[in-house]
Amino acid sequence: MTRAEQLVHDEPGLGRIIESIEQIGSLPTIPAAAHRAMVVARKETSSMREIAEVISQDQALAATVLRVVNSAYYGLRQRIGTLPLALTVLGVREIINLVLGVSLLSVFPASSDSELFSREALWRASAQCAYTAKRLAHSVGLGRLASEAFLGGLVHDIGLIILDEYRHDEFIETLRSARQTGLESIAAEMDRLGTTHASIGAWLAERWAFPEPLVEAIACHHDPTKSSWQPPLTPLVHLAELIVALQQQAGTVEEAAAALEADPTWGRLLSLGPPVRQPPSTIGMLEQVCEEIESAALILGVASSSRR
Amino acid sequence: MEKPPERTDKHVAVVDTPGDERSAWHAALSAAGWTVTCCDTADAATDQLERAAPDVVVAEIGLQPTGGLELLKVIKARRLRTRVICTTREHELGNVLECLRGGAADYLRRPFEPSELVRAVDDAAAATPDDESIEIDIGEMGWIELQMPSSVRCMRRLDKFFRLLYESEVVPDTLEEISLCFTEIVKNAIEWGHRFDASKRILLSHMLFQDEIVFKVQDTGAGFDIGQMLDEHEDLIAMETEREAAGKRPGGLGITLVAGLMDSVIYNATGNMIIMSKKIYDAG
Repeated sequence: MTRAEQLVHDEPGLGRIIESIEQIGSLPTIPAAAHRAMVVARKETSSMREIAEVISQDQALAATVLRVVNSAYYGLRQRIGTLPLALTVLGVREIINLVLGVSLLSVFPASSDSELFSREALWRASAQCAYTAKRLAHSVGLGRLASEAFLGGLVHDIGLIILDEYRHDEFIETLRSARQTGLESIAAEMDRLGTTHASIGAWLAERWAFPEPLVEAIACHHDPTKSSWQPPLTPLVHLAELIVALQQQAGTVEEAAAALEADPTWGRLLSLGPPVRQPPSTIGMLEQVCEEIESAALILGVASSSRR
Repeated sequence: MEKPPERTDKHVAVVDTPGDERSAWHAALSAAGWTVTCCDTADAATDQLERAAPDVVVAEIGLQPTGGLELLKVIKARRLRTRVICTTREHELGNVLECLRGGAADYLRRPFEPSELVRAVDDAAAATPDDESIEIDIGEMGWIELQMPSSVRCMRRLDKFFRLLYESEVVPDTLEEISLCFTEIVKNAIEWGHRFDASKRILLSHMLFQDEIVFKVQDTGAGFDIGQMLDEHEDLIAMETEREAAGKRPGGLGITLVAGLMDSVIYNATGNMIIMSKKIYDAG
């Protein structure tokens, strides 16, 4: 049984949805170079040279990655002109996650807006979640997970796009019923579809051979208690999504901090980091993290201008 | 075995099959004041080691059944002070790395002038044990990582090995430029990062990508802010003089030279690691 199957085995509608997607036949694929780079990077014997060669086979992809690396976000004083240099300076993990991130944005262009669902808005929120998750990882002493948290934030809602793409009418109906009944949309999905965007997203991530913690983060981002917490990637993504939502509600930072502290995931996550003499306040951390949300426009802008 | 001539206190053993080349080396080394012993096989040389304790052994890698690399291992395993120079008719990158890793003093490709051998043997004999304590590893993601003591002799030796490693991949002019930058940055680390303290080690990593070579050089000394320095000073010579007088890393002219020759020069935040890269084109 795969990790996704373990996590979502009790959802009666998932099999039906997967079957119908497979019948349509053309499952979305991420660019071959990005996929191969991910696979090569995971092998213990791989070298940075191989990874650079694989990514370079997709020139547009390589160029996009370099534009993100040279964006103000990374704040590098000198320009990084080549992929080998980008890999050397920022590290393989950071670059692979960036490659996957910009690839995903090119797989599902922001079209098909309806009154109830806008892909553009979803990607914007996902990019905000990505930067927030990354910053959050650093803030709570889990910097080693920062680049995975970034990718997790970017892809956690990929299931929503799958539903919009392959089961559009059913999906819009679900959203409408959520709005009418006041149910949370994930509950409405379970109600009407017998499964959720989280499970569908996890299934797709597994098909794409994404690493297991990432599959888990997609599957459990609404309920981190189901995840293994090893590594604690799911809670990072869950809290990042909450922070982005709180920020959009335009309340005071004190209200947001209180809402964050009320989430049991927050306390458990804080207890994982290395002990610090003076732990920063939730408000301080929140203010720091929210600064990152502004960066989201960067990756979206770069990716949309390079979309093929 | 040929009879050794009148003994001097400098002793070199030449391990190779008999022939004109070996005789020419023998003559040149003797004329340079060396007592020369010739051995036909590595096993014969091994027998000699304890008894004769040569200062330097010149050993052919391709000897059968036991070659120069194995002899090098025996000498190092026995912790002898004898320096080893490997010679070869068949140049292979793997052998260059093996020589470096095994602590060989030099690697000479045949044919060479006997005078070149004399120079290499003299150099090897003058080296201190520190000069040969280069550690080499294949690091994470395939980086070739070397740790060397902060000594100029060691840097020269390493520079020679680098040239051997890359000469088939990089056109001569580019190789020359890379070598110049490499030695400039390492000299900077020796002089200013470690103040000639040979007990402090410099970490060098390099990787050859498809069409680009990337180097990382790191020392443990206090770094310096190259960007700020270049921003603040228009007159580099004045800056260099001023900084040197103040006992700081000069970093001006040498760094400017390196920045001009390499495609990219990037410093880490603390200024004690430099990453350099240059596009290379196939020599073939």
